Amino acid sequence: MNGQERLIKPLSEAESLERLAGVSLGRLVFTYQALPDIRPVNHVLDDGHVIVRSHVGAAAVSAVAGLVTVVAYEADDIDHETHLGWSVIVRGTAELVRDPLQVERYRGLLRPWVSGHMDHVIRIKPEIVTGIELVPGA
Amino acid sequence: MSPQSPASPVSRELSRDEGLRFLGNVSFGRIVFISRAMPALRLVSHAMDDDALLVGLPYDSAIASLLSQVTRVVYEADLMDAATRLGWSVVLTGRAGLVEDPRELMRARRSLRPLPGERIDVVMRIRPELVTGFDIRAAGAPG
Repeated sequence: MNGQERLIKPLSEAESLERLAGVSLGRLVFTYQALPDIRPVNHVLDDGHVIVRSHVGAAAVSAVAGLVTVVAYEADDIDHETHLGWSVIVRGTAELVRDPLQVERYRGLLRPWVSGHMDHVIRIKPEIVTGIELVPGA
Repeated sequence: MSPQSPASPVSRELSRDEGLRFLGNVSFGRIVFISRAMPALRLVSHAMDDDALLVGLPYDSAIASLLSQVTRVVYEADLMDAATRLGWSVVLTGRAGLVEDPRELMRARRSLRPLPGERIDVVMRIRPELVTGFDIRAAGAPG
């Protein structure tokens, strides 16, 4: 330990969503066949929803296809050296975006992290938003 | 894969060995589990111990329930540069158990670098079964 005091500060919902809107990479957590899974994806915030585009295909999409499913979404910006930064977790319901015009619009806003695969657009309606900030102590 | 222009980053899937090596290069990640029938995750610190992953956890109700019910967990860590969009991500699935031997526990705790304010009450050892990941580099960058 380097002896430097560090603190966890909770972020409000508004602050958390603001942090989330400021980055484009996060991690989608979902259940598939009763097991949890996680995939790094890109996101944008649109009208209070978290929109993600992912090539995850079978796993995530069948997990959310056709019905509303509960997912978690995490994004953070934590320095690997100092361990300072923030993390936000959104829990909410997810559904596939099927309207071709909306899909087209979101595809324009989202660049997939890993290109070259067919991908899907998923809309997450946040129910619970929590965030923390890891800051140097006084 | 579609043809890439010379400037395009190149994405490559990681082998199991590479994935484990990459995990060893960072000290925190995300443990993923199901809590009250819903997917959940926690930011935690980790360290590699030979081919096993050691994960520090606080002992609270969600973790207690995880430990009592689940033997298989999913863990993710990554190192991504948002500006350049280069980096890697590894997802590991494996069998988990608590480190119970006191000396082993002491050694495990010393190998972890806790996040600010992170409480570590117990240490979980995850024996990797499936390790997948990708690495995105600038085209022509050394592999």
